[in-house]
Amino acid sequence: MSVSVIFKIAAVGILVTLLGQVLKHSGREEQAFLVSLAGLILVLTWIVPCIYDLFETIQSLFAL
Amino acid sequence: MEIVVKIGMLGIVVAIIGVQFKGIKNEYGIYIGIVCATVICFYLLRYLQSGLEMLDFIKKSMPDDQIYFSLLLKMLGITYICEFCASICREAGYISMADQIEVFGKISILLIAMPITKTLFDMMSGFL
Repeated sequence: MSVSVIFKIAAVGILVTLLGQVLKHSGREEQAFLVSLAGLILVLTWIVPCIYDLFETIQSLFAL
Repeated sequence: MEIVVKIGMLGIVVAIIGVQFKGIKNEYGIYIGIVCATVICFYLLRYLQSGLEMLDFIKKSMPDDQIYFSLLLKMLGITYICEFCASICREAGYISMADQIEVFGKISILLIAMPITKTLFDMMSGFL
C-alpha cells in the first residue's frame, strides 16, 4: 500500500499543476487556487493515515 | 542484505520524482519526501522487529533489571519519533520547529532516565 501512495501523490501533483496552468492561462485564478487546495486535501487524506500507522507501530514496538 | 538495496533504490527513485516538483510546485516534493520517509520507517521497523525478539531473550536472563530494559526501549522509541518529525520539519524548511522537537525529545529522555540515576546514587551511597 504505502509505496503506491508515493506514485499516487506524484500523479495528483502533476494533475494539479496542469489544471492550475490551464485555469491560470484562461484567466480563472480562483479556480486554479481551488484546484490546488483540493489536491492538497486529497494528498493529506493519504498521508495522515500512513503516518498514524507508523506511530502506532512505533508505540506498539517500543512499548511507549 | 537485499532489503538495504531495496531501500536505496526506493530512495533514489523517489528523490528523482520529487525533484520534478521542486521547480513548479514545491509542496508536492515535500509530500513525496514525507511519504517516502514513512515507507522507509516501516521497512526499518519490520527489520527491527526480528532484532527486538532477540533482545527479549536477554531481558529474560536478568529478571530483576527488567524495568531498566523497558526504559531503554522507551528511550529508543522517543529518539526515533523525535528524529523522524524533526527531519521532516527541517526538510519543509522549518528549522526552528525541528530544533524545538529535538529539545523536547532530549528533555523527555532526561526525565525518563531520572529513576535510573536515582538507583545509581542509592547504590553508590550503599558502597560508601
